[in-house]
Parts: sequence; structure tokens; C-alpha cells
Amino acid sequence: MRENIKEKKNTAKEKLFSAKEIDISIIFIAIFLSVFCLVFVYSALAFEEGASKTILNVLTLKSSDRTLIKTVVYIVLGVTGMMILATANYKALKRVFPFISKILSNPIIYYAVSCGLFLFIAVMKNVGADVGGESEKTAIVGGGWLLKANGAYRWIRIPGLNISFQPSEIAKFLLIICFAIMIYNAGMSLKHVRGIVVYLIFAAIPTALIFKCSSDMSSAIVMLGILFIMMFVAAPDLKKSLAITGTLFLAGILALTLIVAIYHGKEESEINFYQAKRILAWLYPDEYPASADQTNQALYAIGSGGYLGEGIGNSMQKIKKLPEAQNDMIFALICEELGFAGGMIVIIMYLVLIFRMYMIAQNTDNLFERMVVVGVIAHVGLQVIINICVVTRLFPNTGIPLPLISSGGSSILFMYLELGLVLNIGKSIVRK
Amino acid sequence: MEDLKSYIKQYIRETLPFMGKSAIGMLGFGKFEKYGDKDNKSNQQVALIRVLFFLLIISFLVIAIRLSYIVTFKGEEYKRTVYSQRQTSDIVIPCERGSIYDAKGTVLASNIKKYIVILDAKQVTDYSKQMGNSAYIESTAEALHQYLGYDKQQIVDFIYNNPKDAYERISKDENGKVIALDAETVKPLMEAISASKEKGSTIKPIYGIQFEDSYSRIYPNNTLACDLLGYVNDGDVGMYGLEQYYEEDLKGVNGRSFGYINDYTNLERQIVPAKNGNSLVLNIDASIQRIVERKIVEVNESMDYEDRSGSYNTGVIIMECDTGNVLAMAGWPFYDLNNPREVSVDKYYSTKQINELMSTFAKKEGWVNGVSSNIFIEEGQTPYFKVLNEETGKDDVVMLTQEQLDKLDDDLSGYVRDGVWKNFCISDTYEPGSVAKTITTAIGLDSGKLVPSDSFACNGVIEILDRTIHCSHRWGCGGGDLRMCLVKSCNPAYTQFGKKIGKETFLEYTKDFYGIKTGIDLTGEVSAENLVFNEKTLNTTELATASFGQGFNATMIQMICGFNSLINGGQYYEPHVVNKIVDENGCIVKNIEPKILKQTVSESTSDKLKDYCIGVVEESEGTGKKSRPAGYRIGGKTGTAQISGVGGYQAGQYVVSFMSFAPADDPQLVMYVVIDRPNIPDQSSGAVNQACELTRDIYTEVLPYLNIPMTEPLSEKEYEELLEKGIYTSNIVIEEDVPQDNTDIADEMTGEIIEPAN
Repeated sequence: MRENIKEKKNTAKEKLFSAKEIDISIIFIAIFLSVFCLVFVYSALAFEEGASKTILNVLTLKSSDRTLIKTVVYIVLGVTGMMILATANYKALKRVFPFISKILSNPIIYYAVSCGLFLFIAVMKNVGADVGGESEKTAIVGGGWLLKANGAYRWIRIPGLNISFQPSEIAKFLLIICFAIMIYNAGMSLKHVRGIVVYLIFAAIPTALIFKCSSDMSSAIVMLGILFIMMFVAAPDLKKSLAITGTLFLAGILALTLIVAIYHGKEESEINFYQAKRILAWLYPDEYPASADQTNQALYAIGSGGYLGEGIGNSMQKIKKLPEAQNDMIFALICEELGFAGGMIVIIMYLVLIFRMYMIAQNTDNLFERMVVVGVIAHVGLQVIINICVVTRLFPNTGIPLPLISSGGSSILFMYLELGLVLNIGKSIVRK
Repeated sequence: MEDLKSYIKQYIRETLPFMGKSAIGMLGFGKFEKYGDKDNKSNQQVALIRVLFFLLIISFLVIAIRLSYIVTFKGEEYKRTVYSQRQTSDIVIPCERGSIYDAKGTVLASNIKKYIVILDAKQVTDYSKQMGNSAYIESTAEALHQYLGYDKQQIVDFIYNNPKDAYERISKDENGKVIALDAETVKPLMEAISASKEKGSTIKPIYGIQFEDSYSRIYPNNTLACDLLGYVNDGDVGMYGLEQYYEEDLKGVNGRSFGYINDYTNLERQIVPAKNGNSLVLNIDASIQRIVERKIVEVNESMDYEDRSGSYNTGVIIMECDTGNVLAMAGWPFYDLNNPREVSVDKYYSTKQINELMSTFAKKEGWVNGVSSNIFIEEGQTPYFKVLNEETGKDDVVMLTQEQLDKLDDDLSGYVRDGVWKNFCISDTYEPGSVAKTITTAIGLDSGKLVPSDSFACNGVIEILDRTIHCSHRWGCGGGDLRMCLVKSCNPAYTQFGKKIGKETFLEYTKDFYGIKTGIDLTGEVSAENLVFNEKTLNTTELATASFGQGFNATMIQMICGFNSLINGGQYYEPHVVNKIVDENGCIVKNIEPKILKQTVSESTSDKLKDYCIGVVEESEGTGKKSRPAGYRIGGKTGTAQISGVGGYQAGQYVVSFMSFAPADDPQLVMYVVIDRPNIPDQSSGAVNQACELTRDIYTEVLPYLNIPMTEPLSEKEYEELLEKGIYTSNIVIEEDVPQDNTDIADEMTGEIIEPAN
């Protein structure tokens, strides 16, 4: 019965692009979050040198205006990309470009590109010469191909165009598709522990590359989290996947206890292992004031906002106190300017977004499609939870952007593309 | 063992191909059983996705609870923290304390600009990071080492250890206290910094050194007018004298530079400029003050009897007759205003004086008693007292414990410091002695209880109830009418005059003179209201002694203000040190006009009293003959008073004084000289001449300085003396036949009050 209706639809309209049955609410929420993004990124930066009132006057552009324009460009690109992906008709594509669709249906291409990006970083950072400082915080290294900030190589830069992007964001997008295909291909092998181990080895390689080559711990954690959740949902034998989850969980707790046991009691300046410092500062903020300062400032911002906030643009903490107020700490800025109410609005928006995607995941019949949606849900959910938990000191400090709201071109662009995939999948489901 | 080995082998043999097959299958090659082909687990997946969604909802709930907890319970605390973090970024702009000028514009107190050196480690670190070269840190440390002598390695270490510290005050003294450096010290460094940033400079630019202005009080004349001015303590707060009295006017308001967020969410720096303090222009004339202080030092240095230099205190006040303006005021001993803490006991007191003081303290503590007990401090021995034992007639030795000795030392240094810093002229009380006879006379004349013809025949002694009162002339001065009794300063006569005036009239009049504050604009004036008589305590004996100035206490400023009213027609002026208060641009903020507080006596009384006082100086029997300066007629009154202490009047210790006005016919100045325990062999007789001669010496220089024309002919000797002193006067008249004044005048001696033994 269902099959019939679907076939009927597909045969009736085999256009390359079609926007029929698209989930408008996801688009609305995404754009709403982007408006938040523009308002608060501008608020976070505009105070610095005094905002110019004439955005169109290029000669007087301040860095806050440049960031704003860059963000607008990426949002426009992202929305366009999302609409293309959402409206693309896969069946029609397969018919018109059979070779391309054959390549795209194989996981190897995604896997190779993702790992290749990080290997490129690994090579360039050792080969290329340092070029110089771009701004106070970032340096151009690797013969002009890399940007370095806080000791991490998070950006690949194209020298002539002066455009840079984050390979980890591209990798998240590509690997969600890649592992969804892999699960589709070999779903039943996940029934055995051995199969799960194979899957996890596949997942561990790009994760290790992110961690090793670009020294980006937080992206690696999110990456592994997404792929693990996809595996957990797909694995047919619940007992075995639960056993593996439990084992990993216990190992994590053990590692944490070990770190605390080894390093707790040492002077702050004596600890070189900075992840350990962050964990200790999370557990004992009073004993490690320098490491706990960032989170403290975020808490001060949230607390001083009260229930209704200081008003947009009136944050005190953003001035030289709240680090990365336009980026990882933007939720604290929203809470200071719009208060508890503003923070709850943002959380509810994410909840609605995830709920819409959850409905799609529940109702699609295709395993590949379901896995893609689960991957995107995991991506959005993990980043929101970790980001907000960091600023409220429920987690140790780690730099993860808030999806769609934090500034940062790659993260916005590829989040939109992921939503485009979900929208495309959502078109084909049948309303019950 | 064998079983386990083969089992593992078996397991590996099975596992590896399976894993290989799985991997190949996952990558989309080869044939592998797909999901859904055999048993579709779709329902389990739907359930797991639901679980996942619920876990997300729970996480969001936890976050919401955490947020509401922070906002509800920590909101206020965090808000305060946010504001307190902001306040620390404020910068204080120091204001300049007001200056003090004398009447002619001479600077008595002003400020010099000094600099606190600030190390901005953040600026250096940021710059060197940006340029990728740590040599900038080195160059900053090198500059500090080269110009200010700081340890280079220490500075480098500091910058590396505190890369975010933008404000560290590094100019410190040995004790680690922040100090400001002189302009000459920091100027080469300032020049080097600006030179290093110029184009074409050969050395690396020096970053991260800043200078903060700071003002430091300076007194260009060191000790001049020290008691009047007072000093400024480490917290820039005035202590003693004018600095303390006019603190509110002088201090000014510090400015502030702070950041705030304007309507366009820009961080702006707002500067509230510092408001400098107002300046004082005094009535004091620095030239007169200088003359007075020089003469005081001279007279004290001349009194070098028995290893002791000078008196305990010497006070001089010069006041304008018709305004109450104070022209000069000085209280020996002096101290250096630029180093007010350098007051050591040895500098001001001889061993004998220290012994006397310490034994006084010991008596107060009750550790020793007896008449003459001085402390004996010998090297290598425990300090001890010798006390006369009345039964055996020998000296008993009282040893002191270390504790007691420490207490005595503390008492002594406290006493000395306080005594040096405070203004003797307004803060110390003493029994004024015979100078008070002028007031008694004025009371009698003004109330009609005495008439000029009232006379008394003195035979040297008179008994009032249980007390015996001696005249200064042991065998009787002979007395005479009212004028002659004042001229001869006859104590027995005044006991009778006091009786005539009566208790009520005496009390009514004296409440205008004694036991009140004059209202002088200086810190530390005392009223001595508990040290004067009232209705209950003024009985026959007390009335008798009070008439000649004993038995009650007064301050110098009270005496001179009272006396001034007696000779200027009865007008009691409020004494003023400050003439006007001006702001930093010289505009007048407040003018302090002369102020008549009350009419004390009638004009006719005043005229009579002036005549009597002239007699004190002019009459051959007058006690103040030695005070007459060359070329001028003056009037005055001497005083030699016993000192009251523990166990009654102190043997052989006196306060001698001379109150005077000049010129005699048209009084313009009033001067009061008090020497507390002059250091001469016999203080009881002739000591008052020290005060008279000091008065004469000061008048000799001050009157010509003020261009007051000479009224009297000069003898040749006087003329030569004046020439020698370099005092040029346009109207010198030399009279040939001035008879040489060889008559040995009877010096005023003290009229002793013999107290009944009890």
C-alpha cells in the first residue's frame, strides 16, 4: 500500500528538483537561529573599536562589520546549499547521471576526502614555512595553507583567495553520509561484537586524525559521539551494543579518575597536560583559578543577566572579560543580554528542530536515510548539549560551537547542508 | 594449556576472515547480508531513536534547571562580581594639593610632580607574540635595567610569568612599598622610550613601560613656620596646623578615567578631570617669621648652661593690633617639615632634660616618690633612681626593670614627638603670671572697683588666710598708686586689688579672657576651660592669686588676644592666620575678613592701661626696661610664673614672658614672648630679661622692616649697632646727649607663693 503511493508519486514527477512536501518548520527554525546568530555576533564584536554606523561604507569597515558580512555571506550560501540538497530528486539524478550517483553511493569517496584533509594538514604543518600573524590570535603557517590558533590547526586556508575553512566541519558532514552508507551496506554484521569492532575501527581512524593532525580534541569527541550513536541505533543486537557502551563508559570514568588522582594537588603552573587542567578546573574551580576563569566569566554573564536580561547590546561581560563571546561562549552572551528567557527560547528552538528531525527519522523506511537523520540529530544534539554544559559548568571547558548561532563560516555552511539532507529525506516520508 | 592455545587459535582463525569480510562489505564490495534482508529490526531502531530523543529532552531539562538555579540563587552575587570587575579597570587621575603662600606671595608649601613606574606585561607580551620575537621583552627589561637599575632577569621572569598583567607598579623602596620617583630620575628613560619608537631608531622599540603621575608635598623653607603649617602624612592627609585645619579646602578631588558602554554599544573612556585643591594666602609674612625664628634660635643657643641647650619651649606671636591678623607665630623646638618623622629625643633634649622628663613620668606611674629623684643611666648598668629617704637622710636606690624602662622610653618619645609637632602657642597651657595683672587692672578700672589713685604700701609679704605671698622685692617694693604697682609688678598689692574687685565682677570679666577658644584657624587649639576658676572654686585665696596670674591656666593665644583688646580700645578680634583662599587660577574663593568678637573694656580704660604698660618699659623701676628697641617707644608687661606640677609648684622652674605693643603712641603690633623654663643658672631672678631681650631683638628688626617710622632719637651706640645689623632707616635722628643708662634696675623677681604644708 505504502509502496504504491510512493511509486505513484515518483513516477508522476520525475523532475531533477522538487520542493513538494518539504518541512517548512525546519527551514523557519534554522533561519530564526541565524537571525540570533547575526544579532549576537554583532553585539559581541561591535563594541571593540566602536561600530561604524555605515555598513556599506567599505573604507570604514571595522572587524566587527567584516565578521558580520562574512557571516551573512555564509548564511546565504548555506541556505542556498540547503535548498539545493533539499529539493534534489535522487531518483531523477540517478537516471540522468548514473556514473556520478554510482560514485556517490560508495562510502570510500567520502572517507578518502575526510581523511585526506587531515593528512594534508599533517603534511603541510611539517613542510610549509610560517608566514606571519593574521591577527592577534591566529597565525598563518604551513606555507600559507594553514591557520593556527591556540596551538590547534583548525583551518585550511587557500592562499590566493584568503579563504579558510574548517576541515573538521566538512568531515562531520561527509562522514555522517559515509557511515550511513556503511551501515546500510553491512547492517547485519553489526549483530556480532566483531562487526561492531570493525565499525569502530573505521570510526576511530578519522577521529584519531582530527585529534592528531589538527590537535582539535573537541571536534574529535563530537565526531566519535555522532558515529557511536549511529552504530548504537543501527546495531541489531541490543545486548551487545549495550555491553560495548557500558565498557567504553566505564573506561571513560576510569580515565577521568586516573587523571584527577595523578594531577590533583599539583600546582596549576606545574601541569603541562592541559586537558587535565581543564578537568581539574571543572571539579575544583577555586583551586585552579586561571584555568577556571573562562567558565567563571561565562557564569557571571549568565547570572548577571537575571530572568529578562540587560537588553540587547548591553552586556558588560563581553568587554574584555568573556572570551570568544561571538563563538563558543555566545550562549552566555545571549543569557546576559536576554536573560533566562532568551536562553530558554534558544533551547526550545533546538528542541523543536530536533523534534522535527526525530519525526522524520521515525517515519522513514530506508535504513540509509534513517541513519543520516540520526547522524544529524546526534550532531546538533551533542553540540548544543556540550556547548551549553560548558558555559554552565556541567562539563569541563572545551571549545565547541553552538550550531547555527556561533560565528564561523564552515560550521554554519555545513550545518545547513546537513539540514538540507534531512529535508530531502523528509520529503519522501508518508504522513501517518 | 593446550586447550586454551588451540581455542585462541581457533577464535583468531574465525574472527579475522569475518572482520575482513565485514570491512569489505561495509565499503560496498562483495556480497554481504544486508539489513532488512533477513530480519528487519526497524521496530527496534524506532524504539532506540525514541530513547535517544528522550535522553536529549532530559539533558535539556537538566540544563534548564541549572540555568534557573544560576539565575535565581547566584544572580545577585554574579552581578556584583561583574560590576566589581569593571571598577578595577578605572584609573585614578591624581589631583594636586593646594599650595600655601605668605602675605607677600612667598611659597611656604607646594608640590612636585613625581612618577610611579608601571610595567604593562600584557602589552610587551602581545607585541612580541605578534612580531614572533621575544627580543622585545629583553629590550624592555634592558631599558629598566639601564636607566633605573632594576634586575634584568627579574623583569624578564615577571613578564613571562604574568603575561596578562597590564598594571604592575614596579617603583618600590627597600620595604616593597610603592614610591614615586623624581622627574630627574625617570626623564632619561622617558626620552629613551620615545626615541626608540621613532623612525630610523637603531634600537628595538621599548614597549610596556608607563608612568603614572603622583604629587609629593614639598616645603621649600624646611623648618620655617613648621608649627603653623603642619605636614602631610603618607596618605596625603594634613596633620597639625593649617594643613589639617584647611584639609577640605586644600585636598582637592581626584579625577577618574573609566570605561562605559554608550548607546551604540561602544566602549568609551570617560575622563572626569581632577579638581586641584585651593591654595591658602596667609597673613603671615615670611620675612617677619624668619626674623622671629632666627632670634628664637639665637636666644636658645645662648642659654647653654650645664650641658643643656635652650628652653623647653619658646613661643612668639606677633599680631596686628587693629585686625587680629597673625603676622608671625613660632614655637621652639622646630622640626623639618620635609622629614617630620625625624624627631629624635637627643636632638631636642639634653641628658639632663631627658632625666628630668623620665623622672616626671616615673613619678606619674607611681614607681618612685620623693622630692628629687632623677633617673641615672650609666653604661653597662641597670638604670636606677636615687630617692632621698627622709628618715635616714641618705639616698635610696630604686632599680628599674626592663619593662618599666621601655615604658618610660615610649612615654618619652611620644612626649617629644607630640611636643615637637604641636603648636606651643595654641596647644600648651601654663600659668600666665604677672602678664595677667594687665587684665586684672583693666577689670578694676572698667568696672569702677579700682581707680588710678588706689594705692598700696608693700612691705614685701602679705598673708592671705593660710598662704604667704611675697613681693618680687624681698624686702618690699614700697608700692604706690595703681600705675606704680603694675610697673613694679607687686604681687601683694594685687591680692588687695583682687579683693576690691570682688569675686562676681572678676568672674564676669574673666570669662571673656580665660577658658575660651579664640577661634584661631589652626588645628589643636585648647580652651583650658577646666583649668580656670568657676564660682565654686574661686575663694579668697584663689581670688588673691588669680589677680596676679597664678592658680589657673591659659594659652598664649588667649593671652595675646585678650591683651590686644585691652590696648586697641576694647575690641576683641578673632585671630586669623589665613587671609584668603584662592583656587588654582588665583581667583578668590573666600576672603577672611577681620572679625570683632566682643567689646571687653571701654576705650578710656584702654587708654589708661596703655599708659601703665608704657610705664613698665619707661619707668626707672619698671620690670620691662630691657625690652626697649632702638628708636621706638613701646609698652608691655613682664611675667614670671611658677610651674605647677606633681606635688605643687616646681622648685626653680619658671615660665617667663613679655607681652608688648609697639609703637607706644599708635599701637600697630602686639607681640607676646614666652620662654618655658629658660636654661640659665637661676631662673627665679632676672630670667624674665631673656624674654625682654628677645622682644627687643625682634622689634629692632621687624619695626623697620614694616616701615614704621622711628619715634625716638637714637644714641650713637644704638646707631652703630643698627648699621652693623644692616638695618637702614630713612628717618634716623641722632641725639648727642643721651644720658648713659647705667642705673642697675631691679630685675623683676618672682613673688613666691608659699603654700601651706600639708
